[in-house]
Amino acid sequence: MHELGIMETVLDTALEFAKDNNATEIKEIHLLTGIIFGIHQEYAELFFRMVSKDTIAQNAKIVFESVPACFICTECKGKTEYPAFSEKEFYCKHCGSKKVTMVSGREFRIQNMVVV
Amino acid sequence: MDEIRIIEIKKSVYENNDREADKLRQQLREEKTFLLNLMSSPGSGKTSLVLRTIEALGQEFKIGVLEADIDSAVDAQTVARTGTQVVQLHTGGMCHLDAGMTLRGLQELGTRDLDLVILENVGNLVCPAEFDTGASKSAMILSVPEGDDKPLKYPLMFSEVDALVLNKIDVLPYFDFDTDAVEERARRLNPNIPIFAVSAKTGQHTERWADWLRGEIRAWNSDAC
Ligand SMILES: Nc1nc2c(ncn2[C@@H]2O[C@H](COP(=O)(O)OP(=O)(O)O)[C@@H](O)[C@H]2O)c(=O)[nH]1
Ligand SMILES: [Mg+2]
Ligand SMILES: [Zn+2]
Repeated sequence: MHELGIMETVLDTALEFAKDNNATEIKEIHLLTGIIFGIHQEYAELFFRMVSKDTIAQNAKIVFESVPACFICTECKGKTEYPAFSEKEFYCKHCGSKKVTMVSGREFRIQNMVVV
Repeated sequence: MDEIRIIEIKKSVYENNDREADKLRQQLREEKTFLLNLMSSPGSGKTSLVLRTIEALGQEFKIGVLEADIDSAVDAQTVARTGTQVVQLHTGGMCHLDAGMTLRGLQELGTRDLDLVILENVGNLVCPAEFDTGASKSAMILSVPEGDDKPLKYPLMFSEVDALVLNKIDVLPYFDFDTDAVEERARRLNPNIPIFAVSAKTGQHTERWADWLRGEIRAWNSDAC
C-alpha cells in the first residue's frame, strides 16, 4: 500500500472541498476501503498526522469504513460477504461451493467529511 | 457560524492517476500502439517472458520495451541484445509505476512507429496492482516456486489483470504446486481470466501466450477509429 501518497491525496482533496465550502476546520474524514485493498490503518493515520500539520485538517479524525468483499456463487447464486481479509479461501457459505466470483470489495474512496 | 456540517466527497483516491491513465490509453489507441503492463514478484520470469515474446512476435510487430524493475540495467542490456528498442526507467526505488511515469518512459522510447510496447513493471505483487499505468492490457506472472497460495495473499493483483501466466512449469515435479488450485483461486477473483501455464526457460507453451497477445494487439488496432 501507498499510505503516504494516498493520505496526501486525501488531504489535498479534503482541503479543496473545505475551501469550496468555506469550512474553517475539518473534524473528521471518512474513507471507504474495500477489504481486498488491505490498507494499513495505523500507518495511514500516522502519515496523515505528518502531512496535515499546520492545516485546518491537522486534528481531523480519520474514520475507516471497511467495505466487505461480496461473492456470488455460480452454483446456488447465493451471496456471501467477507467483512475482513484473512488470506483464506473464499467459498459460498450457503452451499459450500468454491465456485464463487467477486462482485465488490475493491473500492477505495474518500466518502465525506465533517467540518465546521 | 461554527456549525457542524457534513460534506459529501465520494471520490476515488486514485482519481487523478486514473484520469491520466485513460488519457494515455486513448493516445496509444490513436497511435495504434499496444502497451502491455507485465507484473510479478522479482524473479518470476518477466525478462525471460519478454525475450520469448520478442522471439515469437518480433517479425510481425515492431516492439519496444520499458524496463522498470529495480536493478534492471542488466535486463535492459539483455533485451537490447535482441535488437529491440529499450528504455531503462529510473524509478528511484519506487515500488510501482503510475501513468505519469509510464508516459515519460514512452516519450523517451518514441511510440509512433511501435506496434507493441512491453512494460516490465517493478517486481512486486502489491503496489503495481493499485495503479493504472495506461496500458492496453495488463498481465501477471506467477512462477511455480512462489507457491499456489499467492492468489489468497494478493487478491487485488489477481483481480486486476487481464491474463495470468504460470511460469516455470518445467520445475513442477520438484514443487508442491497445485495448478488447478491456482486457476480456481484466480477465477474466483477474476472469472474470465485467460491462464497460460508455460516455461519461459524451455519455451514450452509460450506460443499460447504469444497467440493471446497477438489477438489482443490486433483487436486493439482494429478498434481504433
Ligand atoms: N526453471 C525455470 N527458470 C526460469 C524460467 N523463467 C525464468 N527462469 C529463471 O528465473 C530467474 C529470473 O528470471 P527473470 O526473467 O530475470 O525474472 P524477472 O526478475 O521477473 O525479470 C532467472 O534465473 C531465469 O533464468 C522458467 O520457465 N523455468
Ligand atoms: Mg527482470
Ligand atoms: Zn452456493
